[in-house]
Amino acid sequence: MSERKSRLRMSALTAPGIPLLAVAIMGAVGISLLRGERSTPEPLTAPPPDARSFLADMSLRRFDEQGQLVYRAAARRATYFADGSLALSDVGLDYVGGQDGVWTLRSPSGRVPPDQDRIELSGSVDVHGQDDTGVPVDFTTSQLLVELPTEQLRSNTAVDLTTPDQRLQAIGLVASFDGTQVRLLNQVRAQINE
Amino acid sequence: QSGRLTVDADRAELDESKGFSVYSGNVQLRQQNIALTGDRLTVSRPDAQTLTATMVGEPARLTHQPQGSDAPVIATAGTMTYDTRSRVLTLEGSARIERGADTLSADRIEYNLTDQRMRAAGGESERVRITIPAPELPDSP
Repeated sequence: MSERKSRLRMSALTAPGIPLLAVAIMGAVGISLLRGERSTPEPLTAPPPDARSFLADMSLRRFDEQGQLVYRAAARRATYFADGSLALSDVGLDYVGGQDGVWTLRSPSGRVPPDQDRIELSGSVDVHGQDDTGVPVDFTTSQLLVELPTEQLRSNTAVDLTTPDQRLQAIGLVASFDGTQVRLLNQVRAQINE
Repeated sequence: QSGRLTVDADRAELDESKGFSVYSGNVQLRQQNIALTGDRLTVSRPDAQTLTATMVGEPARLTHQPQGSDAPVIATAGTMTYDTRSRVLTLEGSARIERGADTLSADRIEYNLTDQRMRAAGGESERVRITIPAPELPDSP
């Protein structure tokens, strides 16, 4: 490798009419490229304990045994752990329950437990959807379970829900993936526009 | 229109596709000078301008404080249906309205919340009965 460098330098030096400085720069560039050097890689942040693999800017689609779409998820970061669980940050979720799923969910963080039968969203969870005739139904809550076996969204915390003509606040909610059923479980206060 | 309705209840179920919401458990509906209480309230929207609230209870109960009147109107019935456009409250099933000492009871009563006019209809189980206590006569000398 060093013999090749010296030949390159010799030919650069003997090039007629090229000022000595330019030759030096070309030589320096030539050498660094040959050595394969590049800017030092960014420092690796320490992975969480038990982390097994880590994905950035992940997009995931999950299918069932019949090949039907179960949900589509995107996350800025996804960390797989030794116990098979998955931690997500800056999560987007749609097509929940397949093509008929009406809800689009966004949340700062989420988790898929080892048994994979639900997704736990937390932080300020924003949910946008509509019922089966297209009437928009939106709500926010601080914790939301996406329960795949029962095909329901479920929250046990404060919920703030709006439709075109009413706003409802309650503790606890259950909503079916297809939007045909939305129930508020406790302490309901509705403001209905005439 | 007389403004927004406020409903408090234990539970609620929305069925926006059929255009109604059902509230159940300790239900209270308030709008300006009226308050309805009962066990189950169905709020539906027959058309874009009309909102209908049907309260069922054992009994359902209305308290109405008419403007410029001291005595509130108290009503009870098995079912009360309130039409927000016409401002008419329809009481059905052992319907009874009290205003001060006057009472009206019948199978079915329509009560207009704007002008406080009432229209009663008897049925198999109950005839229309109006009770207006006679004013007290001074003791004869």
